[in-house]
Amino acid sequence: MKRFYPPRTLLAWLVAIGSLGMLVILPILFKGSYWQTLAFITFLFVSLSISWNITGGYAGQVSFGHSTFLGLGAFATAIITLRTGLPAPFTIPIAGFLAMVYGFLWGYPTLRLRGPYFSIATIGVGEATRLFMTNLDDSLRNIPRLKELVKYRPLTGGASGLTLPIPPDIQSYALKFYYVALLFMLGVLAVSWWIRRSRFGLALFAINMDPDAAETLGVSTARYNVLALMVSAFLVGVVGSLYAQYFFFIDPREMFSFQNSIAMVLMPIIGGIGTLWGPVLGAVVFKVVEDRLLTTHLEWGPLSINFVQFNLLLYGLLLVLIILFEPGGVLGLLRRMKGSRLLKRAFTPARQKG
Amino acid sequence: MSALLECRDLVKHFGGLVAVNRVSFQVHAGEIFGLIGPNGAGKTTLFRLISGVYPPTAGQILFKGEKIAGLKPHATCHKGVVSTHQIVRPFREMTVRDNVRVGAEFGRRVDGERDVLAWTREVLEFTGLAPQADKLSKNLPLAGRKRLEIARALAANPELLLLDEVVAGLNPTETAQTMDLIRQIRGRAITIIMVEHVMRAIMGISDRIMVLNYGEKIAEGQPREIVQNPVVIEAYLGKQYAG
Repeated sequence: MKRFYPPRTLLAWLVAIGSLGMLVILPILFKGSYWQTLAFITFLFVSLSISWNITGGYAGQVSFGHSTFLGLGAFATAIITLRTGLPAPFTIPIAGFLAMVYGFLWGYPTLRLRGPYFSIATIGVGEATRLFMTNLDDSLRNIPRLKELVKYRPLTGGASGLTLPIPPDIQSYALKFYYVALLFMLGVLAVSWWIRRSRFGLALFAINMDPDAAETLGVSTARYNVLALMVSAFLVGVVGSLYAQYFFFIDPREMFSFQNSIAMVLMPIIGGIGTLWGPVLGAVVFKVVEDRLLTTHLEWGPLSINFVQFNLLLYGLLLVLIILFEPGGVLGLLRRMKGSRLLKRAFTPARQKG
Repeated sequence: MSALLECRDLVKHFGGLVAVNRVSFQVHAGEIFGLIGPNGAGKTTLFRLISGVYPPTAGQILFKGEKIAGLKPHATCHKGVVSTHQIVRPFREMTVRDNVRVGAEFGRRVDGERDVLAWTREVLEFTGLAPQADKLSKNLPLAGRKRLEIARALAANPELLLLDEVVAGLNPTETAQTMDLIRQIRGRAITIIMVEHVMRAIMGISDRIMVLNYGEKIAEGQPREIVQNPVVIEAYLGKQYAG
């Protein structure tokens, strides 16, 4: 197989190894659960961002329904652990698999739609799933045959959510998950990298750039679109599972929220949609900005302004600015900057190199 | 001679509009079959029916004796029917080589092992695009993009190639070069159906020509019969020139 990237320069390797080393020793340098948790959640969001980019960036199918996979993964792990006593780590592949199956179920019909029509359909799927999961327990109570399922313990917990048992040694548990999430993030990045240079990736990029022409040349657009969504769903499902295992508490209204879907769309767009590193950058920017917003407030005379309130406003503004001035996102901006030859080579967008 | 492609009573409606009305014809292996007609005659629609973009409202399409009507374009491509697009549609952000590689990777398989990259290179050489292989396709001039459209289709290894106005917009030199290429393609035992408005080009190259007007077949025959056919002259120039 031919390489699509020129070999990385020594400097790029040094930067990569250096930053990875930093992440490995970070929890040792900064003792304290705040930074560790922020880093953990950032790893998860980077993973989400890269996973979404496989369908949204590579194949160009912009999904607003990815929170369905996140929620399903989280609830699969929680429900199986609570009901069968199976150790939570063993539920990770099951969570991914269920999300993948769900991706097939709703992707197969909706991916026949193109462009914005697909996106609108995914909003519907996402909202329907959220409402279904939130009201599942109440509904089951009204069905005589299925009443038993929720008689003694909740299934999804409805509005009050589910709580997982908390292990005794919480600190080493959290530290372990920090590294699990870091490893998983690297794994997702590797998958994304592999797809870009594979035959599968070629099909996705072709579909993205012109579905009709791709179809004419023998690419089954329906099949590859669904496959991409399934791969993406699996990875997002695993993130959901890790999330549940780390935070012990999940609530269907939050896990399946539209907000989560929006975050998955925003992050790759901020960073640079369709590229390998863009979603990584975008997720880091997104998470750090969000964290700063959550914890900062301004005192201005008698006024006390909480930035949380401007959260969505800011992202909306950012999105408009990016689409108007730099559709390549942060990566595009970096590439424009002077002396960017190295960046240009390291972050080639959708296969420019032969 | 057996027919490679046979269309029987092909009909396509778009709402109340009858775009193709009971058109029947046969294309034989190895020939260049020209398709002409005034604007809106249904030429492109006919192409799209054959390649599977639209299912026909009625009628049958047989390729090597096998029914292909209703198959999706990727499926007809795998059978060996590949079309080019009237308005060139390269994968803009891909290199010329990767454009061709899409056809090579996903098109019809040749018997036995086929090295996709070697095949891609061969197609690039054959179509004369090799020097531009590493350029982004959006940076090619129109003639190059038109050629790429043909190259990609060839990479999919067709038995029947549908060329939709491949010389439209080209200057006389480029037109002559494209015509040369089409002759060479025929030399590779690929059957060609082409739609063209440039009369000199299509008359010079086609073995047989079919004329459509308002979705109906009004004539079929060798080029010199077609240019003298009063029905055809009337369709193109009006009644006073006919006869």
